[in-house]
Amino acid sequence: MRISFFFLKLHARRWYRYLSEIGLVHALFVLGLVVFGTYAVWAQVAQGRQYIALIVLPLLHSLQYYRRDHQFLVLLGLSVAVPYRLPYLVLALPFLAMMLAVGHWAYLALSVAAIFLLPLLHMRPFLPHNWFLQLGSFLPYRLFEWRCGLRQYGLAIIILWLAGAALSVFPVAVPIVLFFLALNTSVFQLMAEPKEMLTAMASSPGHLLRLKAMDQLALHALLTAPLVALDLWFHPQYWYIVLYVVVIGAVTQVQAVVYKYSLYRPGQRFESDSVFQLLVMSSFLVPFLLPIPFWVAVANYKKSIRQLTPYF
Amino acid sequence: MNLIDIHLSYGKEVVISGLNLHVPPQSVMGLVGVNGVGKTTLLNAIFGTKPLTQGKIEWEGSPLQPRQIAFLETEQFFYPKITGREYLEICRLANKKADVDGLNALFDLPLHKLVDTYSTGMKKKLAFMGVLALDRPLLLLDEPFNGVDLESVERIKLAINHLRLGGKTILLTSHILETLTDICDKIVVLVHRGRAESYEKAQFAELTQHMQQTLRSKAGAQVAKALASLAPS
Repeated sequence: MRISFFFLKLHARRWYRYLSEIGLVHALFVLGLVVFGTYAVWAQVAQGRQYIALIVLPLLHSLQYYRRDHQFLVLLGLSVAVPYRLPYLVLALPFLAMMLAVGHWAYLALSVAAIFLLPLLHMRPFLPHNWFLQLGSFLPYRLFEWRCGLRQYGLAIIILWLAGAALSVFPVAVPIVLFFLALNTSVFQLMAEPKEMLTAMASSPGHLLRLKAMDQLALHALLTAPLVALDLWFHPQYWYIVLYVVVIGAVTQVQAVVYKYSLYRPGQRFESDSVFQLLVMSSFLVPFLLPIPFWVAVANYKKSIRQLTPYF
Repeated sequence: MNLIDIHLSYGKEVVISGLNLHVPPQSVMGLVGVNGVGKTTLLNAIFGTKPLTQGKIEWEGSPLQPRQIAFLETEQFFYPKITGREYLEICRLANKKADVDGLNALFDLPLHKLVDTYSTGMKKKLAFMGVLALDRPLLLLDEPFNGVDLESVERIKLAINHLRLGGKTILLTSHILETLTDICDKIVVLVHRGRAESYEKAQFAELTQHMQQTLRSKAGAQVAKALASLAPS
């Protein structure tokens, strides 16, 4: 328990520092977004759609999947699961409270069991070493983000993709999968390349951004097109839902590119990128926050041009 | 520590085949070899994160356990947005007796600052202190001198010597032969697929001369060839 509380306090302090760093206005925006997002989920749950509260599970799974401290904890001889159960429980509390409020014990039990088991998940070491090296090797070298990304996150993408295809007969399955696929492919832009690669690929900051955005959009479209086709085949009457998620995905891909270059420093890794993307994507779920992702994309594009200019 | 008939591979690629090595207790052993020869892979195997294809590793006659090892990796992991003190406090979870401020007398790092703002060398020093905080009988140090300033190199060397006198067994790698000849009791040169050549302290001068001659004669031709490929036709 001592270790659990230690890590809970540590993560709380880290999050406080993230929020302090982005400034009061941005911090309030982020916190507001979280509150509105949670409220939107509650509104759905209160109307009888209790399963919506289970959205917390893929969110926690995303956090678990991108954890990089497994080896570090092993080196210290600490449990890889214990430090995360309490933080996950705290993050899931509003959703657990919703399930408790509507008395959906099955979902509550499922969520608690998942929170207990999720920190134990660490699948990659059990897969053959060279298996993922083949993934993405058919892509040209210019698309190095996707080559690396598919090798690193290929398992999650394959599982999501197959789950989407298998469950496409259900109306909501493909849109949900598309949402998380967009998040997964956007984090391919987590790592900033060396500065020499910028000038090797493009002649100006604007040229580079257009090139990168088009590549990201094209590859994401290629990955998701079969799922979109399946969804339209089974549920043509809900074409507007899948179209909306496709737009979310497209904006997220562009956002990932301009966000990376707006903070570009050669070789830098953007740790908070996936959380930022999730927050921006969540804006699409709250109607009056709709303009925000577009506004953020344009602002980051301008900032990227300024940030990249010294390197050209 | 005894490494007996060690075989390691990545898929079909064999990295180490049939390596036998004895690391005497309370000694410092250096491990050298060109990039990719398998030094880090071997350390990972000793720690247990890289499964052995074949062979066994013994510590005082029994299978070696991870809780007996403190491992300084080449690239260290730090949670983003944590301070140096918080990092050492995490390490203290594994050994409550460790004294953070006492340890920091070694390098006098600004522990109140975020690790994200540390230089490469400062991060290495912090990780080294974290390894010391664990207080384990066997230390595996992968490139402990990389990116560290001259004064700190001396401090690390003194610390290693002190640890040996205190009863620790240390296996370390380095690309700077002089740092190893200064502190090691024995140096092992890993050649191809884990073929190992051992040199005792009395043979270090011979080793240095041999390495310089071999590497320079081999490298000279390769550098000339590489630069010739850049010349305009």
